[in-house]
Amino acid sequence: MNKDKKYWMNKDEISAEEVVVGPADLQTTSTEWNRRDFLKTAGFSLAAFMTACSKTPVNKAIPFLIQPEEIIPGKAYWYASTSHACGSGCGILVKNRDSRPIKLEGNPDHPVSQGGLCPVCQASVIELYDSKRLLHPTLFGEKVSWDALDKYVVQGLQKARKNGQKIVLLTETVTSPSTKYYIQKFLKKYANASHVEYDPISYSAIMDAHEANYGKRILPQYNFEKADLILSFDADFLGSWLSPTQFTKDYRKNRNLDGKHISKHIQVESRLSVTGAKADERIVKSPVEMLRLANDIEHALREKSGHGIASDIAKELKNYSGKSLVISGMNDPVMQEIVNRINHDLGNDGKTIILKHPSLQKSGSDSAVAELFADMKTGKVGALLVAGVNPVYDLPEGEAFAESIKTIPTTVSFSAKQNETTELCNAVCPSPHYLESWSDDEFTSGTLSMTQPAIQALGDTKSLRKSIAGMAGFDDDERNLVRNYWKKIYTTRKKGSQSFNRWWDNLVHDGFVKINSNSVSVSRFKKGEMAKSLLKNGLTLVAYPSLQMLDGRHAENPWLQELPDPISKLTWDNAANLSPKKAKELGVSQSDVIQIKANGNSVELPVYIQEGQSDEVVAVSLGYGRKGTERFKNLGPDWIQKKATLGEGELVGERITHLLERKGSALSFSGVSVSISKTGKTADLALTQTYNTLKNPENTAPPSMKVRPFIQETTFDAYKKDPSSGAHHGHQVVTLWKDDHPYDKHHWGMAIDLGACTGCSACVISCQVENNVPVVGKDEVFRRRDMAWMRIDRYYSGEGNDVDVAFQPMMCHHCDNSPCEPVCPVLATVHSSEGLNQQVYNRCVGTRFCANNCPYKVRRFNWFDYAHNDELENMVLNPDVTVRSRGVMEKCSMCIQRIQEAKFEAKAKGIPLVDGDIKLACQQSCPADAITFGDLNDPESDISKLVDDPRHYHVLEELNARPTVGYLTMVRNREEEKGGSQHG
Amino acid sequence: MGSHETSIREPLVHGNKNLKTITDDVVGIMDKKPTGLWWTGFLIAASALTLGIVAVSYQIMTGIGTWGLNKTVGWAFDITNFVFWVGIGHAGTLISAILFLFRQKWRTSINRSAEAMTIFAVICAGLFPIIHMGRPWMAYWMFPYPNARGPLWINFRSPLAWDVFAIGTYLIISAVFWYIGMIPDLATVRDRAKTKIKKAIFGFMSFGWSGSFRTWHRYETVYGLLAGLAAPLVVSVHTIVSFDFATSAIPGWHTTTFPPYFVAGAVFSGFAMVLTLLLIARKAMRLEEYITVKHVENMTKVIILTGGIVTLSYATEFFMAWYSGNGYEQFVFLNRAMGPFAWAYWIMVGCNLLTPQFFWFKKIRTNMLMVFILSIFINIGMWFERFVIIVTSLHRDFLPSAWAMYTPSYVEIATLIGSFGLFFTLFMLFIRYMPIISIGEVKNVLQFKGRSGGGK
Repeated sequence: MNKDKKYWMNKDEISAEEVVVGPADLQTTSTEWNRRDFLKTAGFSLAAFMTACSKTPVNKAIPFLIQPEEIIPGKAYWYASTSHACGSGCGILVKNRDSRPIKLEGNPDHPVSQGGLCPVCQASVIELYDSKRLLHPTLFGEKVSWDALDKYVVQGLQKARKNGQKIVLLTETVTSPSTKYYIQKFLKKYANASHVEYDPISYSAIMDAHEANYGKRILPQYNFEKADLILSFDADFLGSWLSPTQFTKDYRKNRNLDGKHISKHIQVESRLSVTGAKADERIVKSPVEMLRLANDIEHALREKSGHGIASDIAKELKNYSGKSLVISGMNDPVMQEIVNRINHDLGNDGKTIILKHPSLQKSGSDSAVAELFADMKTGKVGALLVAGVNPVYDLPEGEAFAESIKTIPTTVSFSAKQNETTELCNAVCPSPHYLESWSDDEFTSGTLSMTQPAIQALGDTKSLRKSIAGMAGFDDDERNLVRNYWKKIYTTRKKGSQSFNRWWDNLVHDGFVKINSNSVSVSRFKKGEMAKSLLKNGLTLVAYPSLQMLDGRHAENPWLQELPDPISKLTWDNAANLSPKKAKELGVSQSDVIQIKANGNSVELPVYIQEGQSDEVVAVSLGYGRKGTERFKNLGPDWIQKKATLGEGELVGERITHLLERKGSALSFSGVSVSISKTGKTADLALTQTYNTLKNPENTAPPSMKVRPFIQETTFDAYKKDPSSGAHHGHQVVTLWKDDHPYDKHHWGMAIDLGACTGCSACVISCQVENNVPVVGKDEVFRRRDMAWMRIDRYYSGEGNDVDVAFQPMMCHHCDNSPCEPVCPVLATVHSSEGLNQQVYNRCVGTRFCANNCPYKVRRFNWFDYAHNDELENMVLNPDVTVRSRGVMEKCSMCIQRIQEAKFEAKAKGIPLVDGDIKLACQQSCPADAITFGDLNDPESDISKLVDDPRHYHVLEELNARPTVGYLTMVRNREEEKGGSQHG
Repeated sequence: MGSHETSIREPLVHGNKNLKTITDDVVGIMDKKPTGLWWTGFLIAASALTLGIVAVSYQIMTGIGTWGLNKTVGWAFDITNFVFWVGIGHAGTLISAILFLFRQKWRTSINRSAEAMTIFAVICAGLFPIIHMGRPWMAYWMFPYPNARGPLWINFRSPLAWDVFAIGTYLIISAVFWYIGMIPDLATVRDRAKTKIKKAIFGFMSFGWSGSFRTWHRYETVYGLLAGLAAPLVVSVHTIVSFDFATSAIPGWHTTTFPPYFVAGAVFSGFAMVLTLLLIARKAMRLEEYITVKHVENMTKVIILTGGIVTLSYATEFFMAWYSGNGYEQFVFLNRAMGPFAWAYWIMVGCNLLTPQFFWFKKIRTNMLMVFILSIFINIGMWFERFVIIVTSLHRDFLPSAWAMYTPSYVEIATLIGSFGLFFTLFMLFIRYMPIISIGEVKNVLQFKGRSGGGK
């Protein structure tokens, strides 16, 4: 499909203007008019007058007033752009229908996303249509014009300068070279100004360690593709760490079973993460034990002696010198320095770790923000400009920060949404959503990613770039600020010999361009001082960014709130995860509310009993308890036994950042001593899966089936000997009936590689966006009425902490002998001539017999009229997919709209459909390429080859429903005795 | 029809009745003011019905989500109630049709009310498939009729479509059978009517019955034919209802023993309900001389038999699960007995296996209060049997990830209460306004001293 996508390109772009550099005069505008501008404005003014539209004339995003030739109503068109949802910088393609973005997909050519896209970014499209977004500049809570606001800010800055007070620009990591340029200009203009960057989920310790070891404060790039042995200490690189989509893509490349070897992945962690779930070997350690282990490994590497796990791992690492990768997700400089030394000793620098072309995804510094805080307390700061971060929520000293913010004379917030910090700032500058913005970003050295607006800005918004440039004296429109910057410097950084216009056009068209990287020369490795770690023994807190909520910046996103955590399957809450042993010890059980005390602060959270977790930690996810989530109070259907999603004055989950503490220069997310006490209260946990293993319950397990055979698992060694190892043999399905449903043209099928699936849930959100799946609210999820067409089943096996996890994406299996079809009395679910099981919403009367009779339990029922009330939010609906009303059944349609579109396109062109032309929403988004879809009738198709693969199997094949969705045996790279053929 | 009873046998009707007193007794009820007991019963029933109407209206306005169902357990109270009520109806048909064909004379005093019970039970049953739909206003799509939608027909392969025919046929035949049987008595009421309006109404309702020999002759032919038509329904209706489950793919449902098991269970529960009702009617309408202890005893004996079949079915299910070697099947039965819904299972076993055993004892059989209490236990047990079959099979089927629990909502409980309200309201109105005992037939079995056979 990608081949035929039309990328949008602005027609005005070819004009060559000069960069206008002039004094900051925010009051005046140019009075010179040319004929075209006059006509444009006159025409628009007339239209605006007649339609009472208050929009100011914008000459960039073109509404259908002048319909562009290439836009065909009813047909999607695509913009290449870049995601700013999490800061890893995935290249995206924005699907537009009728001038509104409705779906984001990974740009297959982009080096970061490589076609995949994480759930957070997928879901971020709905935030564009958030009716509670900040849409107008405000000053002391009053709606004002930009001019008035700018005037206030400039006066404030001047006053601070006059009083000799500091001006501080506090931002998250700035990745845009043009923004950095204007910030530099701004800092130059206000000599007493400084720029402080911090990242709410901090990577500061990694950079500090590199500064100590290599003399440069950099964040290296990691190459998982070249790493044959990966040792990760608590780095959830497949889930939430740094750049998960990119890492998953790269990780997957080295785990193809067709080669002689696959990478080996050892995960040492204190909680259970998706990365740990995927690991070949998983070692459970508390944070302080982890540090000791890393230390032991380092010594074992040097001394060639030692015993136990450390020396085993050291031995293995030795075997993979230069081909291994050791990382740690702990924000602890001691740990990070150990990791650096191990990598250095193994000769991984320059091979799996690229220091020369560092990642620029993060550059925040924990110590810088600590210094700023000290300055604020002593009244040295005269103006504070906050952009993209929410220190009142993010930082452990949030409350104190809030107090001191009130003492600063001039406070300005640049934010797209109201948050804890914005509330306290005098001036609020609404930022555009990234789908409305222009931006240039260099997330990794050497790749410039372009962000372009896919819709005319919905509010009266201004980017940080434009505001800062304005203060620094550059007045231009959003696009030109970026364009003119590059026009000036592109000769130094471009590759090849294109003209600027050509280069720019390509950049906008492709969404990214390779540029010369400003390579960093690091100094020789210095061992650094051996500092003593400040991690604590005993019961400690591990605060982790959950895959769906990260640091809480997307807390207002209903899709993400309702996305089950891949491990705990919890929605609409964060919980105190305790190991079963620890819970027993404390005398608490699941759903009991406990109080966690640390650093003089406390928080009350419900207990979730988590298998495979260290007994010495209580793990709690970050990003909850955000202000703004009180909007979900009444989410969900209204009826007499409804329990509101939130109680009066409650927020979704609990904030825990105030329990954290700074240890030395870094903000520590783990190893914080806590004490736990019972409260006697209980809470409802809205879980989408409550039975967690394939083992039958002890007392009702029949002797013939202790464990249900739905997951096939084997080891790589066994697989090499016998590709069908791990298969559950036995069921040979024979039939007396002749095949009366020949599929003459196509017969669609799907295969899911359990070895590849990381459980990241990108597919779940992708499906939800593509298919207009409603959000139902906490109470409905609690009542087991979640509507997701696609779910990821998660099963534990093993004993104690030594837990294996299997993920199994589950959606409609489109059985050729569908059990659902014969039972429907009104023929509302029928079989297509292409092997699809189709649900006819119009015909459905809602007897639910089909759902009862579905062995896979993948059918979803509209128990109520699930909300589609927010008119603005409805803009995100996919017009190709019916919005279902109350009382009808629905389920995965195998994105029939995509199949039809591709078929029509092929037909219109008169060419046959080619394998790979159709990509389903789940398949397209999968960062692990675990899902294959295609035509089973085509013997050359990927899916046909996979069906013949010895690893291929069907779940519940013995029922003879003949599902067309199959799975591939999970292969782990571990010792043979550990991975049995039975999962259990 | 001649009656050839020996005088040694206990008479079917007590109290030295003659033709006049029978007519007076039965029709007299309709003329007299109702008893306080009747009023109490009627008001309770009508209140329950009102509650049910409110609940169902609320549910239809708001959505089926007002029930406690979820994505795993798609049926619970709704289909439990449906099967329960259909089952109740079976005793009526069995008494009126099959016992008629077998010339069981003792049926005459109870068949009218048993048939009425059948109809009311089928009305209650028929409601549930409609209100359990997500879009009940589309319920007419379940019927095959030429339409402008294609024409789009129903799915003749679906057991739910078979249900439509089975229940429809059952309701029609039962109603016709009941009504035809009532015509001579309606004519009696007409003849005794004192007001013009009553005369007109009952005159219309009795279709101009003349009581001539020819009319009687034709009446009895038609009655016999209808009995012949209704008799197979006793077996077929619940067989088809059991297909809702038996033809599915879900362990615990996918069972070939279901048809006989369901039919036996239906008769079992039906007789229990007949007992419950008649013991109330007997007391409330003072019909002790017509509905005698012998009737009650006979019915308890049927209960012992059908209870035995039901017990055997439970055992067979467990045996088959073990014998099949199918792990899923075995799991479902272990889960029934020891899983989270074990309490429901043991209520079912306790009520359905143990209760009938009390009826082996004549002392208990003839103690009306004991019989009444035990009959209620059987009603409860049989309701739970359907609940256990439906909910325990669904809540933990194949994929453990989808396993869920089920708790009924208030609306669901109110709907259940409402269905009992509807049933008892109709029954209370029936015993007040219709000849509750088949006058003509009872007269037929009357014994006259020194004479055999009965007059008309």
